[in-house]
Amino acid sequence: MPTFSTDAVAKSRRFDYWREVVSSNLISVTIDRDTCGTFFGSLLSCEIGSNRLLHVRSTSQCVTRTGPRVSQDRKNLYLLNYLAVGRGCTSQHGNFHDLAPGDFFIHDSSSTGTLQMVGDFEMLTLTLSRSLVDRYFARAQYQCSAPLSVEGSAAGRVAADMLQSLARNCLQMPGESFETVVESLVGIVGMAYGLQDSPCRGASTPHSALLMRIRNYILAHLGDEDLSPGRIAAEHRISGRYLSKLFESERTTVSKWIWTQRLDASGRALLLPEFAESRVNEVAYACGFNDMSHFSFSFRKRFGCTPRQYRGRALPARNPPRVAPGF
Amino acid sequence: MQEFSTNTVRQRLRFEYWCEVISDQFVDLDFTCNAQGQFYGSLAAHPLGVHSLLLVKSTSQRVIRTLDRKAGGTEDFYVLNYLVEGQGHTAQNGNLHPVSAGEFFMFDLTSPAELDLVGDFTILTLSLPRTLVDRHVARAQCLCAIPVSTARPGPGRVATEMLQSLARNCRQLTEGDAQPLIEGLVRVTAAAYGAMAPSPSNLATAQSILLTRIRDYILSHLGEEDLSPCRIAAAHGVSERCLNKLFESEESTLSRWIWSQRLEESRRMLSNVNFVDRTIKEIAYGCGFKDMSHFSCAFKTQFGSNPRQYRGKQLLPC
Repeated sequence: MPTFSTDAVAKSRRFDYWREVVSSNLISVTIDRDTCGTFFGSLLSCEIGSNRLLHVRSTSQCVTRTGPRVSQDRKNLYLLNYLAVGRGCTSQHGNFHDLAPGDFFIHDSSSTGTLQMVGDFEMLTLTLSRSLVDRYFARAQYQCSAPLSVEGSAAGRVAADMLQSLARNCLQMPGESFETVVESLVGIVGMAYGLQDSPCRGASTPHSALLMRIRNYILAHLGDEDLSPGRIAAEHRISGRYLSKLFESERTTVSKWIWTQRLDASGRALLLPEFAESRVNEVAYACGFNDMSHFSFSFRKRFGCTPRQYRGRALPARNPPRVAPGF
Repeated sequence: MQEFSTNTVRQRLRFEYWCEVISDQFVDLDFTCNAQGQFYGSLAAHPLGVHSLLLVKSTSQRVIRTLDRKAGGTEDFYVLNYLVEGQGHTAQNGNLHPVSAGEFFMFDLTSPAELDLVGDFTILTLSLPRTLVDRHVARAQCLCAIPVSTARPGPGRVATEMLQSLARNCRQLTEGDAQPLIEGLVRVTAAAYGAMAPSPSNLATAQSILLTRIRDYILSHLGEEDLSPCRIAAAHGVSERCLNKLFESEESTLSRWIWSQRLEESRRMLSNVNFVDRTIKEIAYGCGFKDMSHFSCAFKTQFGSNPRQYRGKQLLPC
């Protein structure tokens, strides 16, 4: 079990060391820092079977998974994070959220995202395969970066206790038991997320419930090239103006959101075995793009390489996933 | 929530009161008081849907559950006990085991059981429906009364920490919240049984442990359509013949069991409001079914209505 700590490193070199540790040993991310106080960081990584559990203690920093980074290691995983101590904010798939102690949040490593931590923090990160998440989360893609607070959810509190218990016990645990515990945990967290989102619970406002329905509609129809704001508005019996307003509250526009989702979907599809035989333009069409040059250009901009290069970099099979705090 | 305590009762009436309360409110049991000094007892019971969670603090006593005095309606349950503090003995199905603090054990409520505790003790008890336990723990009756230690890190410790977390949070849990938590707990408990080192002298227990591990493997891989007896056998280092033989003594064959668990998994997703955006086809494929017409037909046979109707009925009240 690798453990890294900046304790033994000279203060002036600590941040560089931390960057080095995280970037070279774990998932590919960019780490920045805007304050100049003393830096510290410790990281405990527990690797069991195809899973990995990280326990991180550190201080203010900004962790970014940029397009080029995504294309560099092309990890296709979800990361379940639990912020035990500290505050910050996170964004992914166009969602911005504040994080408070006791929040669970999910990140999708196949997509870009940011995690900004302010002050000292302690966090647990667990890697999850896509198929596992799909079994228990109805819409993980939508739930990325959206926090689940254990404050308001007793089930969430039990899940947090369980994750912490898993972190304490993971070292001596046989691989199959670890996977079983992880699966039970995902079932519980997925359920707690579902209850939080569920329109039946009355927990969410009509506004966010509608926005959620619209996003799900968009995600389900990404492949239709005639998916337009007009059609979406008509389908949900609202005006185009109201639709723009809904997305304004999320600091994006409808078309921009669709465009990003299509790009991310094409990135994921390029890595899927189902599309291994398909040509790049077929994948792009399947994701709703109709202009190839426009697609290549924006793909390059988002992922830092061409779709062909993105697909070409083969991944070593069945290596335990490498992850960084939050990603 | 129900709470009882002997605090307000006079010392010489305490034990009688304790026996009365438990036999009256919970299960009819035979008590013998072994307390040397003063007797005391307190009990808090939280109903969680079909389950109930009991926290008991008391002192030396011997509790025997005899079959003929059993209260109606409890036969479909197991109970999971976690001895937080104290020590003593458990007995069921002819197995007598010493038990000490930090260990958990199950009792099967269909057969007589005995719990003999010496000195002050604290125990957490959760009742679990037979169908839920049987899904994850194979031949659970062979594992009854056997204490599982949580002294070393592992799934057993996660299970007991989860149970304690459940006890702390149970007041705020609704029935709907509790169901997946308890299911998760049973899975982790099954993993703890699966990770146990079987004693070579007891064949029934050893088989039960192996089968529990195999079930866990199957449940984790239900969604993969290439989950075959051959692959399962290889993953557990047994021959296919041996695997089939192990399942032979169960009520169904291996492939039938896989099939029924896939149906159960699809039922779970179809009755969950969060999955309304998924088509029935996506759900069926996600559960490892390949042939839609075959799936619909089997679903109807098992649950009485076809998947679409079933989903409609389940999600209607929303």
